Amino acid sequence: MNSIKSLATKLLGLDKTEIPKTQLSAISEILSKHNFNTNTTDLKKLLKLLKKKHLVDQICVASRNGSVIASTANGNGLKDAIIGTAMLNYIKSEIPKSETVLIKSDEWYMLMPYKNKVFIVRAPASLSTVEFNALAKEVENKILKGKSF
Amino acid sequence: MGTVYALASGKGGVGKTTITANLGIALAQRGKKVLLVDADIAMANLSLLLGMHSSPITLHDVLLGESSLQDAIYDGPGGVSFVPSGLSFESYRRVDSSRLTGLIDSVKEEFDYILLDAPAGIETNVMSALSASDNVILVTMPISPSIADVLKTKIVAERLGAKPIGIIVNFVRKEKGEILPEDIMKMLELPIYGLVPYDEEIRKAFMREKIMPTILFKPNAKAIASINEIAEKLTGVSSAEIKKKKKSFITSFLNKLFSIFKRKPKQSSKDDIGEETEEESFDQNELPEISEDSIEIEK
Repeated sequence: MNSIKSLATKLLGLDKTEIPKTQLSAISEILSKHNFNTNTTDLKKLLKLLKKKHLVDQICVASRNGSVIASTANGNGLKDAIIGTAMLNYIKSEIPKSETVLIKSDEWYMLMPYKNKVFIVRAPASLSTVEFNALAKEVENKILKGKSF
Repeated sequence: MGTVYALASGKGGVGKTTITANLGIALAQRGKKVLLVDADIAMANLSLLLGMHSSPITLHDVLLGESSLQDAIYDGPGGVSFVPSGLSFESYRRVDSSRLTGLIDSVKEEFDYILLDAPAGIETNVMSALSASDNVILVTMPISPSIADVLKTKIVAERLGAKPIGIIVNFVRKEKGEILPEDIMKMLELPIYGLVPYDEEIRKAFMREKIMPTILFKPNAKAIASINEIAEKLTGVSSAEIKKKKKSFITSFLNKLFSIFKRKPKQSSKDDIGEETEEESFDQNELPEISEDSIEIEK
């Protein structure tokens, strides 16, 4: 019955639906704004790309002792690295199993140890641990891959 | 080592769960070891569709660290293994879905295909499912809200380092206003794995005393033919080959039986193995090619 109805609708031209073209062009534009090619050998450039990709304000990668490996901050983020690692070390000493530290201030201040590094991120909204982990993993993989860093 | 696929959509109600269940069974019918995971820890619909919602140990217990994943793997219908999610709201509020990646990695060796039925949306639980997968298959309907949502899911998947590999367009009615497969491919910059037609038989799967995936009670349904094609694309094993195997099994069984009585076996009839009827087959020739090379993406 349904197939007869559908055939009749087509034959008699009763299908008044049409493709919403203006909506489609708007949808297409969304993707063009979110195409990020992070294929670079420059660590600082990579962090800048990741900043846009994950919609965060600042990324600082530090070693566990507080020295800066790379940062998107002007002045190389030394302050971020020192405060971030000190804070993380203190929290780790109190809560040894802690994996991520999120602090809500005017903005979100997020800390995560990953392998032998500490990732310090500032953002207007908090990142999920899954996304934070993906960000750290991408940086770590690039560091391991590109000896030029 | 198996491959983990997350079936995700952004929008709810596009048929992810139905496709996951039927596709999983279609893969198992091709001789593959398949694990289905109800990764929708808030709305455990796959557990309902597979009739396993009252399993004693669920993914909730595993994510809470109270049970091992091995204890939560059950024999599901149609030859698949299955990890159900819990229906309890209390345990859902306590689980940490970010542990999913490590858990899935721990069973990758045991299966050829692991299919994760991801929740709708782009929030944390979805991210966990996407992050736990090697490949993401996006499920959408041929309408603009569904495509807009699936596009966001694609962006989130890429942010998490997951790899979107293709699209399944579900509920295809071939109406004039439906967005064309070519346009969907261009917009999402991905190949189409299958066009699944709207099919009343799929809806009816939920209207039975014993709920089960359509592939098990109506294997010749139009939508199932399309899902079988997707399984064929993923495995390289066609439905015809399965039938051939079934046929040769029946023939060899009859041979053995008749050799006892030293009589010549009769050829097995088509009816014995559930041949498809022409009337119910969906014209898959109209589908666009799925090869990535075949897509011309407008940059």
